[in-house]
Amino acid sequence: MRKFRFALVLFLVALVLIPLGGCGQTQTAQTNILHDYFSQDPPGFDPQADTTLMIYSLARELFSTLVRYKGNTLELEPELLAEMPTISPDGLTYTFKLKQGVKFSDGTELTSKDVKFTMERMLMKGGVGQSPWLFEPIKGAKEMEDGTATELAGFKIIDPYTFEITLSYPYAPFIEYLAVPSASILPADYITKVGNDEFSNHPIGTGPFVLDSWTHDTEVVLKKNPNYFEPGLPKLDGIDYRIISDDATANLEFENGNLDVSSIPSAKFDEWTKSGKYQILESTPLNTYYLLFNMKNHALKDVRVRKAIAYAIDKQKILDTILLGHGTLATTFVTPGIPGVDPSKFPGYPYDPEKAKQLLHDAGVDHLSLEIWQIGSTPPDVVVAIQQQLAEVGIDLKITMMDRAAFRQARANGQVPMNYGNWWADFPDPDNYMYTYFHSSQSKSMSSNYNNPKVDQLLNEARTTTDPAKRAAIYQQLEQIIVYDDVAVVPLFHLKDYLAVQPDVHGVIMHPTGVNSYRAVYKGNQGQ
Amino acid sequence: MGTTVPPTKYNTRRQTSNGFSLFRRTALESDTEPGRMVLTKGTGLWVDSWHRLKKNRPAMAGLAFIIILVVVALTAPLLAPVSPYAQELDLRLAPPGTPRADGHGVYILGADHMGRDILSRIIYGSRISLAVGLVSEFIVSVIGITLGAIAGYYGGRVDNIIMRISDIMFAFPDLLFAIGIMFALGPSIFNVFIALGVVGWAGMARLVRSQVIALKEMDFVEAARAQGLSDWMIVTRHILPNCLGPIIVSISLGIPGAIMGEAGLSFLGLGAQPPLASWGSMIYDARPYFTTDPLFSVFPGIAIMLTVFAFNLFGDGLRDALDPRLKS
Amino acid sequence: MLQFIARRILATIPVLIGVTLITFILVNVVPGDPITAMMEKRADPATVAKLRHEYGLDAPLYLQYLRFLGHAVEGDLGKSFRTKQPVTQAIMEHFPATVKLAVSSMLVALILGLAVGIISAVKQYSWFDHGSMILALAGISAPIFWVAIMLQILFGMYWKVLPISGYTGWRSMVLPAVVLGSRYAASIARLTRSSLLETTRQDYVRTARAKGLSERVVIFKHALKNAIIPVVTVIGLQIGGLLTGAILTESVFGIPGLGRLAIDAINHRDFPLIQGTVLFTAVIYVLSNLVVDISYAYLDPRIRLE
Repeated sequence: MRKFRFALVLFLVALVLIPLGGCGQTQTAQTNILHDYFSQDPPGFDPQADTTLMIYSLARELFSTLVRYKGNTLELEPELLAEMPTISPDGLTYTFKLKQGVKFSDGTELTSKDVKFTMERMLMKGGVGQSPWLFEPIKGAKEMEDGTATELAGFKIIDPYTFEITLSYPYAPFIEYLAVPSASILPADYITKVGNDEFSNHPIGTGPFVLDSWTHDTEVVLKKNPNYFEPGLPKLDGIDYRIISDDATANLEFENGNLDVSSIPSAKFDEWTKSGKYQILESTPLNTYYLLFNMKNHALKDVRVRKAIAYAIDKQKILDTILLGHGTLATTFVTPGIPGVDPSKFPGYPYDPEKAKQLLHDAGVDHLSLEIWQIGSTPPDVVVAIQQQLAEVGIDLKITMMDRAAFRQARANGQVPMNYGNWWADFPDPDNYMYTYFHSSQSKSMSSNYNNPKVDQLLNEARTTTDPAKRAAIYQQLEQIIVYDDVAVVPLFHLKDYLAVQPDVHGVIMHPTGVNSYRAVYKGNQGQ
Repeated sequence: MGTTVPPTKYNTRRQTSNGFSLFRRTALESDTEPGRMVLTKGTGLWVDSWHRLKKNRPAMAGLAFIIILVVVALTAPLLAPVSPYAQELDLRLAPPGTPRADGHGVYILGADHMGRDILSRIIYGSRISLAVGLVSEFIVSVIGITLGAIAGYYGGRVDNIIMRISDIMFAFPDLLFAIGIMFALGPSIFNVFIALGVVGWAGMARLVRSQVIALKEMDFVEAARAQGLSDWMIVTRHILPNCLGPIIVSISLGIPGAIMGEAGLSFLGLGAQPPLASWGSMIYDARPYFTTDPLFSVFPGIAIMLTVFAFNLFGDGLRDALDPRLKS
Repeated sequence: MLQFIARRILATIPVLIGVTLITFILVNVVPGDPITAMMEKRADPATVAKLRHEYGLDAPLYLQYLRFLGHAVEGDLGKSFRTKQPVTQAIMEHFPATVKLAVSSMLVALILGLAVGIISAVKQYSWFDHGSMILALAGISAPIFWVAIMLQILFGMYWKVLPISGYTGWRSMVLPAVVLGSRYAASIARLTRSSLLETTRQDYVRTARAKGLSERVVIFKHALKNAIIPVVTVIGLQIGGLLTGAILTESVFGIPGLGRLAIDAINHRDFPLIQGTVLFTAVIYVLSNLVVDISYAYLDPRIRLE
């Protein structure tokens, strides 16, 4: 009996307790902390060791770059620099002047040697740097990557606040590279002392915030950097990034006011925008969503087949329905808004299933089986729609899903037959798109396997051309060849980016490169 | 017998970390002790069992539902109002009752996020769920019965090796193991069959082994041996037919486990691939719309629940019918 | 008894070796190179080769496996590829959440399961018996993630009485514990019921009844004591299962437990982390089985004779 009574008591206690749980509710403390989330735990905080958007965003808060974009524009302004660098007339030598008195969060001052250390660390053979391309135009970079040099020959320290960089060839986009978050300037002494792993886990930087605590798979907490060099910033006391792996859960948390910022799932777009409860921030980022063909794929060899696919997709319908009209139809591979891009000069591929059938017929393939490989576990809705639309012109599209690791490997080996993908510009220059995908030295690693000597030559020429008008003309010629003559890729959309923000949060900078910044954010009326 | 696992009555059951069993049954574990249901003279007991089963109303309700489901699955093209793949993108997420754009009636249960008819997809989805249940239990049975019978009949080193392997299988968390296999093979419904089959055989092997061990010493087996029958004949003609009861119960309770397993894998995005309609992947698709269009996820959820419930009721009743001791 | 325990412990060693071997094979069969996975946009061959060497991935497979085993014996499971964190440390950081979830769901399961099971057995064939057993069956027939989300919407969104997700104090554990615990409650209830019914038919219970003891005393003093043995066994096994991490529940509620760690590890091809997590869960499972078997042998001496 005793046992039974015990069980019964427990049962009753539980019955009482469970609903009681509701009473002590909603703590949402009115502190000056911004609540954001990531969908997975970061691998660490070393901005050189990873190239995900998550690390880019964290790097913007924890570190600083030599130059940065002004607000949400594409115009560069000095960040760590006192002024924009001076460039020699031959386009080879850049002279930089650092701001004085910029301090890392441990109190040491940032000087020229930290910049040199940062660049060498990225390039060093056997180092952790994942984006050596950022500094590859610098003289002596190749030697460092090969391991034949331990110092960067093209980097000259003149005094603690002045340094000179010499490039191996005149290279117009170089200055843009320096604004990429991976190019953040790191503390030479600290890293030399504690090593790479310790730095990655306990970073110090010159950014508006410093890492306060990191509980794996739970939260990353940043606090205000008291040494931050911009007066009056940051306005927040800190940022609390929770790790929420399930998007639907994160959305519910945002709706309940437990998160201040959230991306907007298309399912919630109408509800959130119409409710008037949230601020909806919109940006027009530099991106292109495309259908990329593998030129070595046997079934795709005939240009008429590729062209047929381009005509068979009802891009407008997909944009208006699945994508809720949040973007524009693409007619060029390089995103408009980037200097030298003129979408009005290109017609795009209008939806024309009859023409598609005719093209397929001419190519002698009335019925065709194709494969598309996608990253993730279930295909994006857009691909499912494309599958159905291609079925209507007699193309049987098989979707193969691969997880990130498998896909990356297959793509690097040039094996992906076709892919619905997207490119978000690292920096606003057509080179960042075209060279990456279509120069014969790179095209295999993107699985386009495109090889056109004329295109190679034009791409090389564009790199060393400094006259903007001439460069623009070259890139327009390239668009014509790649997208319209050879149909190596079908540009589909340029999509907008939206962010929902709680009404008391102000000052979020949504940048077209997709990397947002919270340095000027304040909550409520504070800090105005 | 070496260091075999002591045949504690309950260690043949396998609990998943998720509270439902991918395979080997949780609440409904076939509770039979070896040899308890020996059917030396088959038919009499089968008939008795059927009579007992007929009186079990929940079990018969379950059976009726299963029969209906099988009919639906077989005649899906006739029953479904339209093709489960036809998209009307302008009518994405249309509520139930919305007329179709192509004039073929209305969306009875609404349209999904691709403008496809939810009812048609649920009807076609029954094929996948049944296939998952049947095929993966088939794989489980083939591997499990073969290895279990070999281990039980021959004993000794063979037994030891097989049981050690089954111990290893048991030591993996089910779902994690299935996920690992799905990653290795790539997501597709065919691979779901394999993953669920490979994960589940060990429980069946243990069940069969314990039955065979209990039966092989019985008089009728001795008699068969005395007649000079081969091992193959003895096992297939005399021993296995007598373990059929527990095996059938185990299979009938394993099918809902497999259906749940597919739903779980699909929920993690590792199940049936579009455009194929499976109930699990429908819930996965509906996940972003849980709060805005709850009906979208409710219907496939109900379909899974009813089907699993029906199999559980039936399997449960079957076990009670074959094991008269409890209900007598 | 000691000999029995020693034998059982020895028997777990080949199981653990088998588990690591199968994991190792599976991990190496999976397409996708962990190094390429680590590098998002650009993976140049030289860097990949360098990293492969650094992580010992260029060694022959058998050597990689033996190295892993050798270190594992010393308690060193290596470092995560992705975070460079020692694997043992990662596991120890994630284990508490799993333990908390396991304990709280087991509490829910026990309270609900025993109460319902006992009442059902005592009132066999009553409406309560039929009703609760069918309800239990219906309850476990719905996919757990579906139930979890439904409860999130009800309690977290509409009524706002409990946190939707997260790992912040006991309140955030209520929903996951109820979702997970109610599954186990169903099985405990059914088992308690059938076990109790079985014991009440035993001779000694009949004797007790014949002596004219009240039904209450018969049930709770005599029958329950014996009926509870198999229930305890199953609970032991269930806790073992729960301690290996509830992947779906953890992922819906955002609980940073072992299941979550394992899934992330698989997603990132983090070989050492996958190996370590699987080995750890296998050890937990094997140990809990051992404890159950030992206690069962202790409760029921017939087992030892085997």
